[in-house]
Amino acid sequence: MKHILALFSLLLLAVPGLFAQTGVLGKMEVELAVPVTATETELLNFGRIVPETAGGTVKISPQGERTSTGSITLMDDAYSAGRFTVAGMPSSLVSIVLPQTPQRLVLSSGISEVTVDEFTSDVPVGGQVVRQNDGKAEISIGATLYIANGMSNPAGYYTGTYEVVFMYN
Amino acid sequence: MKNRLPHIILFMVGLVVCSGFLKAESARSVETTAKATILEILQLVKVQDMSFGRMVNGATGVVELKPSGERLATGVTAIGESGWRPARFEVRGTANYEYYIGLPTDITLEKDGNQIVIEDLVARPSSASENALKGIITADAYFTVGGKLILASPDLPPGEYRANFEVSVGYN
Amino acid sequence: MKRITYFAMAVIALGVAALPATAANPTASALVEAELVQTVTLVKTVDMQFGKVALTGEGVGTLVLGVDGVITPTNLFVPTTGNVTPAAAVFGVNGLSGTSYTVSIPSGTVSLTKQGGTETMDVSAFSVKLASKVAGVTTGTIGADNSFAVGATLTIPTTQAEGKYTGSFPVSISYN
Repeated sequence: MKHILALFSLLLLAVPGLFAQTGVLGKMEVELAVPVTATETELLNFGRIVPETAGGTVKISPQGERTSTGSITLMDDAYSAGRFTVAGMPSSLVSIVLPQTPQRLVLSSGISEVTVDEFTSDVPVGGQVVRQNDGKAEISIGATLYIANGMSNPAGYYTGTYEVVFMYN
Repeated sequence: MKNRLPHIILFMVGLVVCSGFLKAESARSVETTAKATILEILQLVKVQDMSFGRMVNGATGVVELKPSGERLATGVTAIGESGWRPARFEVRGTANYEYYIGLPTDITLEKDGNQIVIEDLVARPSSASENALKGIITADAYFTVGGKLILASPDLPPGEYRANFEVSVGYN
Repeated sequence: MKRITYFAMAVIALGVAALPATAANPTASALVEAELVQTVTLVKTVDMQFGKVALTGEGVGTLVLGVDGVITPTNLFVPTTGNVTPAAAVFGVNGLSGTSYTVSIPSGTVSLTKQGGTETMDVSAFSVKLASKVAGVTTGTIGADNSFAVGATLTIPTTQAEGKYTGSFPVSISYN
């Protein structure tokens, strides 16, 4: 008899506990907004220039005004500030990071180069506002071109690239 | 108690006496066998109370407690790791004799005026492999008792519901 | 003629005088009891809200939403205007004071789906904090822990399409 009782006890312990369960669903939500993207709409174009012996600089402002220093003659050909169209969250603020070191423009044949430095933009402190209605904004970039004398910078097309980082502020 | 079982001893002795005016030459005597049947008095002792364990209120259904100790719930949620057990009674008497079990038709548990009914009470004697109301007396005979607890209302308040009940045995 | 007289004698002898009062059909009484436990209910009181974010383009974005409702973004921009306040999910537990219960939150990944689309994002690493316990403890007591908060981590791949994403996750409690 005692053996049987012991067996019953063991069986009871081996049975897992019975629980009452009650469950509900919770909801989750997130809004993934459009990231900042930018498209170049206008090249930063210093135009056609004629350097004299001493060389000089040509500056283009974000507003698109061109000035020069030193012995540089500015021709009437087209010139332009760099322009970008930014897309992002409506009413958000976008700021940019411009190159902090001189960028090179290289002659198409590769034997000569000039530098572009002191990049500027029309982005206000705190960032450029992305429009509410179309989720876009325009940003203009200016810079200063440095030219040595006419001898070390032969005539021709000089081109190069510069990097602008766009981000939400 | 076991060592000192009182006995009711019933014996019948039949004597056939032949007497009368018999001559010596033709006395006839018939002998019969004397028979004695000694039955020990039945003893019934409860060794374990019945418990249905814990279950959740707020629903209606049935919790069945089998004499084997198994518990099955339908409609209601029975919970806990242990705590449910059938009632258990030990029976002593004359070995190998059959005894019958008397169970109540139903039992009403109560708490603060709220009631829960247990129906379909069943027993399982140690000598049987199924539920039965008859068992065979052995040195360690017992029977367990289970039943079906009916939760008829979802509005029963929580707490312990209890009752007492009686079972009986007799020689068959 | 022989007369044979038969007679029989029956002797009934009662045993020792001091017998206990056991009848021929003895009875025994027992107790029977059942314990009813109060139902415990679970309700959701606050939905999980990650808020509004945008990928910075620097890599996969992750947004950890703590049980305290504080978000920790990685490779994500969190706008300060036009945003909704992030919130951990909150659930309420109701029942008899003193009842012990255990919370079960998703152990794997649950998906969010873009409204009006089919794109999905994964939410994983669900976390829980009961009112009176430290974060991570899943067993509490009604009375001290009548609510618990749930946080999780959202992973945003670099090319994920913009839009509002929603989903749901199951939570349950067990008690005995």
